[in-house]
Amino acid sequence: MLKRLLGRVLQRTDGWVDRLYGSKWNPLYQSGALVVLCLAVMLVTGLYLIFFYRIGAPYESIVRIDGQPWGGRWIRALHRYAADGAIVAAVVHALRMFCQGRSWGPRALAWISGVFLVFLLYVCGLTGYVMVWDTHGQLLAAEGARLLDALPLFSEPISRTFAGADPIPSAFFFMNLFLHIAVPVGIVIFLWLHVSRVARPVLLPPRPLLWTTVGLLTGVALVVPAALGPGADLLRLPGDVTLDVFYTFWLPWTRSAAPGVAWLAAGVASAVVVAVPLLTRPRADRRPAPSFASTRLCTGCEQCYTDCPYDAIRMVDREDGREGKVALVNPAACVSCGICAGSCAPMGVGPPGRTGRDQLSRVKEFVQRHPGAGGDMVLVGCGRSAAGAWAGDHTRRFLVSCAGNLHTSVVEYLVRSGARGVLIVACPSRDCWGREGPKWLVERLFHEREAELKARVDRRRVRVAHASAFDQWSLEGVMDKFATELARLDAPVGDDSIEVETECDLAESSTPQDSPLPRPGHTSGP
Amino acid sequence: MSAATRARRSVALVLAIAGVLAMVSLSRLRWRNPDAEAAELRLSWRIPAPSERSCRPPTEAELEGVLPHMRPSEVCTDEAIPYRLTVLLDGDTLRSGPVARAGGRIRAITVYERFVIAPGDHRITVGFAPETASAAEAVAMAMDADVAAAPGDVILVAPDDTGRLGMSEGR
Ligand code: HEM
Ligand code: SF4
Ligand code: SF4
Repeated sequence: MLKRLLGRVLQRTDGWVDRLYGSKWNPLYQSGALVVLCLAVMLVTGLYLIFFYRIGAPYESIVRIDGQPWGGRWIRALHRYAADGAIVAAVVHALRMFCQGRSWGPRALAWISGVFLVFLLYVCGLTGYVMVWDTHGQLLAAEGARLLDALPLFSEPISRTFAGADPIPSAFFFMNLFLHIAVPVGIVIFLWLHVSRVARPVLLPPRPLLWTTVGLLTGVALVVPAALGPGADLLRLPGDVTLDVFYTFWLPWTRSAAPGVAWLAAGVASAVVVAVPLLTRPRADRRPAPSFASTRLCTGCEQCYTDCPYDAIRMVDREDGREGKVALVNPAACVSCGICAGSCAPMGVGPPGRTGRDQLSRVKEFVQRHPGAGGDMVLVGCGRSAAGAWAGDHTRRFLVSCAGNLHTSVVEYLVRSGARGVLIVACPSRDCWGREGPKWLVERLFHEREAELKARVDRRRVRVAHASAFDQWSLEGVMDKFATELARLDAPVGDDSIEVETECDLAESSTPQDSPLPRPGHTSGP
Repeated sequence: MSAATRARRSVALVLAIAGVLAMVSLSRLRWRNPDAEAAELRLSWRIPAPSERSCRPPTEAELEGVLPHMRPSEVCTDEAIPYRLTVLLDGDTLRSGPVARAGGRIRAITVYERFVIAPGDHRITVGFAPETASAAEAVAMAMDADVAAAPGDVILVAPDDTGRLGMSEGR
């Protein structure tokens, strides 16, 4: 329910942002990569700041940094705003994964490690704020100590460190600085774990978005310096404090709450987030089945092994007496995106009901059922894209579970059966549920990647549009343009008998029935 | 570039800048800490393991089975001295009761207490002494003083170098 509602809001927002920025530069699709970019900015600016920070006089050293108008001041501000950006982007990224149902099964490791990444980001941010040792840092340290004292961790209250009876030992600032610097090492390790299950992870946004983000953050850092309160005074209660909502939003609430209540709230929230992979996992009978490779049809070409976005396919020695290797799917790593089905020329691999063979049977039936669509433009698309939400004539629409799942033989079949044109609608490249569907689709259609669209198919009648579910505006733009171009071509002539090469007989479809196709907004899996 | 595209790009740029500015303003949100409207009375000290040793000759049963040269002449036990802390504000009791010990029985006693007090003039009375009269030699501290507390002040009661309770005030 919550997932569906959030998913709707997300899709609408995506549609608007696509319209403004174009789907290629939509920052919402790049949220994971933007976190990495912010981390990189923090690392570079942090290396500068560390030269000027003194654990013996923390506040004074920050004041000195702030006094360098051409160096320290804006670098400090950039360091802080990048830290805020990292949290914002991480929350957007996590929300997207949640709403799109990319939080369970083989993705559970990415989910759990993502939660740990955010936890580490918090430790880094909070220790950073204590380092400044202004009134905000003082409040944070005192409140943190009060909460920690409620746990059975220390034999004596550590809050006494901030009582004001004795100067704060420099060991405290040393420990704090050590954590602030050591935690990023943990972040790198967890990031490696986080993306360890995906092939070719995209760690940085495309250049124009990268430099625009760095430029915007730097610009604002030059104009708006980072907040710096009065120096900490343990014998005064901090009055006017400048909070960072992204890191210390909880301070006003916990100060009046019993530590037990604060820990309980944090514990329950963390437990719920960590349990998301279990909570969002569909019932066993609704879980999409993993892909499988037919040892009889597989020729060992390795294309599916190369293309699988989740490294779920291995090439193993054949055991049927034939020479060479055969593809073997690891069901525990397969998210059932179906992209391997589009890779395989002999149509020997894919999730049940979604292999090339299954698609060919379906498209044959489609053409028989809607012969009128022949002379028209046919929309072929991913159910999650604008094609899924398209309100036009459904007799001209053929849906698949992912643009990357689409086998090029379906396109060939439609063109040769007399369709005026085939418009393939994919999700924006960086928002593919299966990560790499649109990328491989374009390569297969226009750049001879296996399983390529055969040369005999007139490319002028084939077009790809990238449009998210609520970006009907882009879809209609491409449709109009394509229709105008198609009108200039001769009327299509359908082949009398269409023999699409399947390299084996068509009778062998993977399942007798097609699995249900995803509708827009349907997010749990294909 | 068409006028529509130019308008769209301008809106996109303005929104991006507005987004970053919104983030930055949330990163520097002014907040008035309501705690600073009042003052705080804070007690903080630590005294090393006050305990009382009592010894007695070993019983027959205790000596049984122990080699003659290993037999102790007396058996001693260290009993932690229970302490009581009393804090009065203008004659009203803020706290009066035993002081919990951190960790094991004979570890140090740590006092760390915070009380919210209204700003203004106050008389503060603190007593910290063993609960048993037999521990006459153990550390005991007391203080009775007037203080003028302004909003946000911390009135810290802590022993000075000579071990006597004194008061420091924040300003
Ligand atoms: C410091 C914080 C984070 C960083 C730097 C980060 C970065 C990334 C990157 C670069 C990817 C690979 C994207 C791709 O190439 O497709 C990814 C994937 C993923 N992230 Fe994060 N992430 C962070 C936090 C989170 C959080 C908090 C969650 C959820 C709780 C999360 C959940 C996921 C999931 C489930 C995937 C896999 C997506 C898929 O396989 O379809 N991440 N992340
Ligand atoms: S793409 Fe098809 S033929 Fe090639 S290795 Fe995979 S299953 Fe075998
Ligand atoms: S369905 Fe997707 S994840 Fe599974 S093996 Fe095929 S390409 Fe890999």
